[in-house]
Amino acid sequence: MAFSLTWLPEVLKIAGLKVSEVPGWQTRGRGDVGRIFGVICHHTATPKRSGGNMPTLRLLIEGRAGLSGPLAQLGLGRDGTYFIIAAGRANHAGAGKWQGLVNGNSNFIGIEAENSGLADDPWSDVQMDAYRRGVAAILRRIGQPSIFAAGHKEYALPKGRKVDPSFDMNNFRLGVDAILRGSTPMSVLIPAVEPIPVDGGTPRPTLRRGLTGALTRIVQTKLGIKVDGIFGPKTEAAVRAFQRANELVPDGIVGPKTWLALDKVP
Amino acid sequence: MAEKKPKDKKPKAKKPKAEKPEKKLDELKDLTPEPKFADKHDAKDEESELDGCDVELTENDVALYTLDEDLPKTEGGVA
Repeated sequence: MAFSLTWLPEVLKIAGLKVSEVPGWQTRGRGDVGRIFGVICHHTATPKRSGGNMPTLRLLIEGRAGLSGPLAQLGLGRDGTYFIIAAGRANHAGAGKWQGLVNGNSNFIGIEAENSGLADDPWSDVQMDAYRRGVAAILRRIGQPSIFAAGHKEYALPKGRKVDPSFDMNNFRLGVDAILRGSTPMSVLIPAVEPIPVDGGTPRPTLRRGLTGALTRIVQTKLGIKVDGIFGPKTEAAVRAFQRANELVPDGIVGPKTWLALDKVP
Repeated sequence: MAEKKPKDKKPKAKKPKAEKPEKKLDELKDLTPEPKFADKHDAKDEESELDGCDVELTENDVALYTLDEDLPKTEGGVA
């Protein structure tokens, strides 16, 4: 039987965010959640050298030795994608208190964002923007103001026990509040096709996993990987690696900026 | 019996409502949710530990890291 938070993907997609549903998420949880009052923001403390978009995904699903998963309802990848892990209760909050609420696992949705939490791993704009927009979308859905976005470091007791997330929560809430009030522009979506080229050529469509065809073959050839015309997980991973090397958002989606960068590959 | 004439009622001029000042974030901090809907503290409540504070990452944890090619498909974000 599915747990309560089955509305999460739709709410995030409507906010213009990238969403990835982890198989089995609807029935995953340590039982169901209670009434949801807010969100607790975390970071994963993943060492930067580990690379990858959401290396802790399996840990968040399964847990670790002595601690059963799920460890959050949502994972937030470095490219700003929300991974929907569980619709039920997760082991994320522990002992603490925020706005009179003392059962974080039951009354708050946990978001674990991929970041080391150290100075050598600054939060990217795309990830922070998605963090604020995702939290705002959830708060709007449950009818709560921005103060119900708590940092784990603010919720956890005794005070000072936790440091996550590493960013300033007051500034974060101001950003969430601006989105809730409608004073922040809507998300910038990746265009479905390239702008019309100056040379009069045909604009190329944005490619992503699940597509097949001649354009995927061109991408695979440029990336030097197996050319089969199928945009599968390995092609997506290769696109992410290419994007990282070219300082683009490593989301595995071949949009106008990635096409331009690929054009420079002989 | 003669019918009573309805009294002419003068329409009362409505007082313009004073605009409510917008709540500042500091004021919102005082909000407390209705406790009857909130759950009590559960001593067995656990936390993710993935924050670099109390528990160090182990080799087992690192072995569980998910590679990009093993991530599930993404939707949304494209116009």
